[in-house]
Amino acid sequence: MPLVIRLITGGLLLYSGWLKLGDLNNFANTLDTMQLPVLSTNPALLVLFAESFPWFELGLGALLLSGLAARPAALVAGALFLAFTLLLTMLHLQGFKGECGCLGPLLSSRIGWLHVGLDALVAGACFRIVFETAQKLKQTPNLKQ
Amino acid sequence: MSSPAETPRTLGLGTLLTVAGLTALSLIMPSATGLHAELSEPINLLTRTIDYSLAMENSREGLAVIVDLRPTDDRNKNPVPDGAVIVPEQSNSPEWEKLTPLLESLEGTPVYIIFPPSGEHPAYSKLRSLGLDLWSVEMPR
Repeated sequence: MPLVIRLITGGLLLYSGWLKLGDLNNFANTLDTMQLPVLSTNPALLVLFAESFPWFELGLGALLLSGLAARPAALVAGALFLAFTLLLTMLHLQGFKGECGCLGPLLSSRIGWLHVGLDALVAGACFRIVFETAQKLKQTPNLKQ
Repeated sequence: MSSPAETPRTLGLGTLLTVAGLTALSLIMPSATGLHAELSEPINLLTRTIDYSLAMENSREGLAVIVDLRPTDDRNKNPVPDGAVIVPEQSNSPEWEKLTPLLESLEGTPVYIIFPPSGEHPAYSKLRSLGLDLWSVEMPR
């Protein structure tokens, strides 16, 4: 199960990062219309974030797919998807009617509870990798330090 | 892969190193690849507004074009008398392929936008990216 979760989450991150790199201006403008705290009042920071964030997603996706630093990468991915969940919940409750633009044609509808639920599900799955492995380590006496 | 001897402490350290490495990568790569983002000129909704009746008059005289971003219900209840451009709500709709050249040809012509009463329209960012002379229409109360 952890392998499947890693492959799905890593694939999603790679695809999402690649899509954003294909149209960075659109991603920057989407972020701008979201009127996010701090970024909305600082255009230079917003542009820096818009052009850097896809690389963060690509790197994290590559780590999850390759299995290198799998648990730390899963923890970071879980925190990232949890942040997405909170952000999309906030935007949806504020009446934002735009698209999140995260997965292009795979998820092109307006931000709604479906998006929030999917992000929460991925976050939960990532945290499961981290804590399930921790439980296994505890249950195996000869692997304890 | 996870080390069998991994403890919460090493997991914390590994997470910090992962975040640091990914942050460094994401900061270096835009310069290394030359892939940069550019933000469209923001519309100052407070200063670049036009009165509803003047907008209708200018549109009637062919001096400007009106783009109606309101939801269908609102548009049907209170339609723009002389017609307005309606744009698809989804930014990846195939209709954009036909609309984009038309909108791009409006360069130099004032484009008056009727915004939704609340929230955002996905086309808003698309319109901003076209570099048009955009104005916000002040709707009568």
